[in-house]
Amino acid sequence: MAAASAGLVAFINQLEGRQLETLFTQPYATVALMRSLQPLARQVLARLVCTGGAISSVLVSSFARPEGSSKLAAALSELTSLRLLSKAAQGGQQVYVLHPSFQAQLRHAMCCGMVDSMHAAALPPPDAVPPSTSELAAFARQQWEALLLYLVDGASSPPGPLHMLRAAALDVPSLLAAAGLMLKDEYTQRQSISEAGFQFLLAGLYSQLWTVVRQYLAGLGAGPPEAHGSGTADGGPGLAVAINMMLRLGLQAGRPICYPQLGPAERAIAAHMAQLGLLMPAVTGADVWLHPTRLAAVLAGGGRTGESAAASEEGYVIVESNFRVYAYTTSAVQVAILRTFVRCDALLPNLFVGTITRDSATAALALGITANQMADFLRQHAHPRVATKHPIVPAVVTDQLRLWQAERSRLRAQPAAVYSRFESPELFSGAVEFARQAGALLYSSQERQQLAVHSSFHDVMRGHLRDRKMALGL
Amino acid sequence: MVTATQGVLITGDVSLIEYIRALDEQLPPAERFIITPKGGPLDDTHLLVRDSKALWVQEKVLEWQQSLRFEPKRDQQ
Repeated sequence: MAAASAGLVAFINQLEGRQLETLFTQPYATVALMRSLQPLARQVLARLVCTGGAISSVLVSSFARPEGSSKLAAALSELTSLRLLSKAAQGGQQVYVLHPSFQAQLRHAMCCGMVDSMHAAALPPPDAVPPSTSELAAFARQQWEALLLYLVDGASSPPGPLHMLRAAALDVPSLLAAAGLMLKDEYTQRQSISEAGFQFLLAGLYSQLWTVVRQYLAGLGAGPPEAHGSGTADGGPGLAVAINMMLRLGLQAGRPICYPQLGPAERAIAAHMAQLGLLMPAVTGADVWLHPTRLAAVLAGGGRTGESAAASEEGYVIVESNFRVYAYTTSAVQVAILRTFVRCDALLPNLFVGTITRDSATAALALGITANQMADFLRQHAHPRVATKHPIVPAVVTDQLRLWQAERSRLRAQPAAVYSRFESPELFSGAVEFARQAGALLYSSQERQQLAVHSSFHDVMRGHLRDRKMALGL
Repeated sequence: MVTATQGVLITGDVSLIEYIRALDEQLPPAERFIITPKGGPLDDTHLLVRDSKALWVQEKVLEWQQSLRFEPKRDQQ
């Protein structure tokens, strides 16, 4: 199984020291970190796991043959930067010390597997009927589309909390505003979509999910508990618990989680994830069980595998080489997303007919959406009928979108000061270098001995030329 | 003596610069906006224009770009 989402692990790698160390007490996080490391780093860790914890650096450097010593050094520096290994001096010699809680967790995982003894019996009773795939898909789609619809149109209501879980609700509007996807109007106190929000709409499902989840994790890691309404004691453990839960969803691949058996911090996070549509609560047997939906699988599966699974079953857009777009969809959100760059010609109950015109494309380009994003969107949501064609979106359409984008940057105008009539070539080349290093150089011509810099740089350049002329004796 | 000329530097491809030069030549000498620095003209892809006219030039270029196109109407095939 591919390692837990690359996005999540990259996020973990960026964490600060103290927060990173709280992660080392979580079993799933240690396994995911281990899987994300380079093979050589993994080998080093595997060798050190069952030792006393402090190994002399002489012994560690002997792991590699002379020709491989630089690779070993690179692996060791990666481990040190992640705080898994730390250098110390013991008994007069340099030793490498493995982080004790990480070592304990890894040893436990290696010896006992990923099944926690507490949760070993955590399966729903055999006679209980779990929700069917279509029910899970419908729930996920309903919650996620409520979020997207709120993003597009600030008047509709965002996905609400689930009463079955009796937990504090996640404040979706402030989450979206904190992620930069919506802007709050000071006067009307209403939120509306921003430029980044339009780009978010056109991105694939995985990057959309990851943007929202990353903002949620950042909120947990930084703010006080009141800001996001969960019951965590302080930021650090809440973040570690959340990351652990998400990795657990990925590594456990589809097993339901028993809600009453979770700790209080985990319950709050699980309730928030259910509000976003990642988990579906269902009363199976006597307790409430949370079943991971397709969204959780996409998030845990990482970009490539998640996207391809999502794309093939939900494609609905056909693009023709005469720039006509047909989208077989009933969802208001998908129609709204298409309308950002496609001119709507007809809207039937199950079909959207439109044309990509110069006006619609340039309006979208003015919003900050790039031609590549538009082409990727059309490609990813291609109808199964055309998904087998090559190329999926006709080359004329993608090329024309790129040409329209290039047209916008055809003319560039900047206020500038042009210097000419230099007394000597050395003075000219010195001035060019000076401007280039300051990042203010706009244009220089060796043959004509002319130089153009930003007009704000003019005074600095004058001083420089004065000094240089005195130095050169001109 | 090194001379400095202030203005707005316009960068673009050769055909665009030629178009702006053509625009400039049509105007009477008093209203011309291209500034030639003392050392000679800039190269084929750069022009120096007066600050006050920079926005006007950009609008004219946009108009020119808009005029060269075909837009399929709603009811056309």
